[in-house]
Amino acid sequence: MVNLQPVVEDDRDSIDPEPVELDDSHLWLLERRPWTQRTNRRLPLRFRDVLPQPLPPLQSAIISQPISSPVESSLALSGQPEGSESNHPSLPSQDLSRPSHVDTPRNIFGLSRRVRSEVIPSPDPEDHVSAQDLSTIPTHDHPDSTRLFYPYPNRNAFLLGDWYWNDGVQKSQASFDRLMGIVGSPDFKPTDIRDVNWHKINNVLGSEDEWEWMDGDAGWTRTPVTITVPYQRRRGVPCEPLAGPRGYVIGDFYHRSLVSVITEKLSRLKESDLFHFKPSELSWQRAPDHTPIRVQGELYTSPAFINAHQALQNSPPEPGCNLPRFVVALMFWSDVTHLTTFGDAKLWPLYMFFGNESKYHRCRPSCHLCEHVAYFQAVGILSPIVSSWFTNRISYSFQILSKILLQSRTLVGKPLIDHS
Amino acid sequence: MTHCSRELMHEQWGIILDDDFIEAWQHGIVVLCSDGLKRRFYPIPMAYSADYKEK
Repeated sequence: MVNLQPVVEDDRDSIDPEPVELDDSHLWLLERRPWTQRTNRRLPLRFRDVLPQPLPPLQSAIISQPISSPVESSLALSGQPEGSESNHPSLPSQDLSRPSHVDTPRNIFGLSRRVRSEVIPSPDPEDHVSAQDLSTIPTHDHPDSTRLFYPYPNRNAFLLGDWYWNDGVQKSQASFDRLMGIVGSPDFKPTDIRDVNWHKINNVLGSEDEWEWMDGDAGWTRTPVTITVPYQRRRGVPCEPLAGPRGYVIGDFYHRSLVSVITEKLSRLKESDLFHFKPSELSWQRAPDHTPIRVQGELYTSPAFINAHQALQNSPPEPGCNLPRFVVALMFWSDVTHLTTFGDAKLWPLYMFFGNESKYHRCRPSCHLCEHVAYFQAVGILSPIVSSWFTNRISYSFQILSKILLQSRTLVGKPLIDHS
Repeated sequence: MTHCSRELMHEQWGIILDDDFIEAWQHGIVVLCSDGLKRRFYPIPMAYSADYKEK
């Protein structure tokens, strides 16, 4: 996962000069000098793969004096309108007293970071970025096996449990062979299964079918949703004076409290979680004497986040509170989700991500950075009976409405459409 | 149906963005982080990329 392709400057340096160039162009390709005899071969630059490298750490940064023109030019280059700063009421003060900033040196891709701060901010999430965070190449490290095979403590216990439950109720030769395959495997260790509490595991397995997230402890709440629907009591009867929109209870809406989700997330943060409290500007320079160009990739390097952070710092603090203040960027995502390959069972979940975290981690399911926040009810994914109820109600309403319109139309002429 | 979908979506978002969240959005929430420091956080919705059932 390379942030940016390295600058392909020239391929000429990769073509090695050959001391004696024999003219063998009159020969067939196969008869020419074998390429294996060539020495000092290197791949052309465009075929060389460069391992990803983390952004430069702030420890190596240089504290500079108040920001001058380079930032404005880089902001302009990033596509932000020239006059946009004056649109923000809280920002013009920066122009008068711009804070100092911290610049990091460029890494091999020419990327550098700039943080508006008097001192080097600590902790810096980028310090904890390892090659594993940047690369999707699998490693040989075994993940925590106790969680991988939950509720079984390890792989061998899982295999035996799988054999016990899923290999049929009657013993057969094939089943016996499979059992021998498990216990005869070189990976099988009797110590793995010596102290396993099989009864407890089976109880856990049996209780997994419960609606775990419906109890109050899991943080989910149920709220009945009521919407107003144009309502007509009987078909063919003109509107009564009291008839009008009526409330209709759609059903239970399952959701979690946003504040509790955010609080839980923030209170459990560790340094290794790479959660960016402060924004930074990411710039790219082809060479040291080139103009830096803003790189847009993460939410915490975006002008929107930087402006929000600056506006928050410039705003008056809460009365009696001098705690440091930070922006938590929420990103919502939602779409209909088919639950089965056949049939039309659907859910409409609402997910929430934190924009303070890198997109490269958010997109990895193994990082568990996605929060389920709600499951939307939709009219279309309700039961067919309810949907048809809606359709009938609404078509009644339209019929009544069109009749009224057509009746008024008959005063001046013939009705155009007969809706009876 | 369009009317119902719209009403339903607005109603549900009204439930999600409850008074607690509006309070946190305006005045922040103080969280004791795992490093032992208290910080005041202001949750701001910055991206909403979602499909919506029009019909």
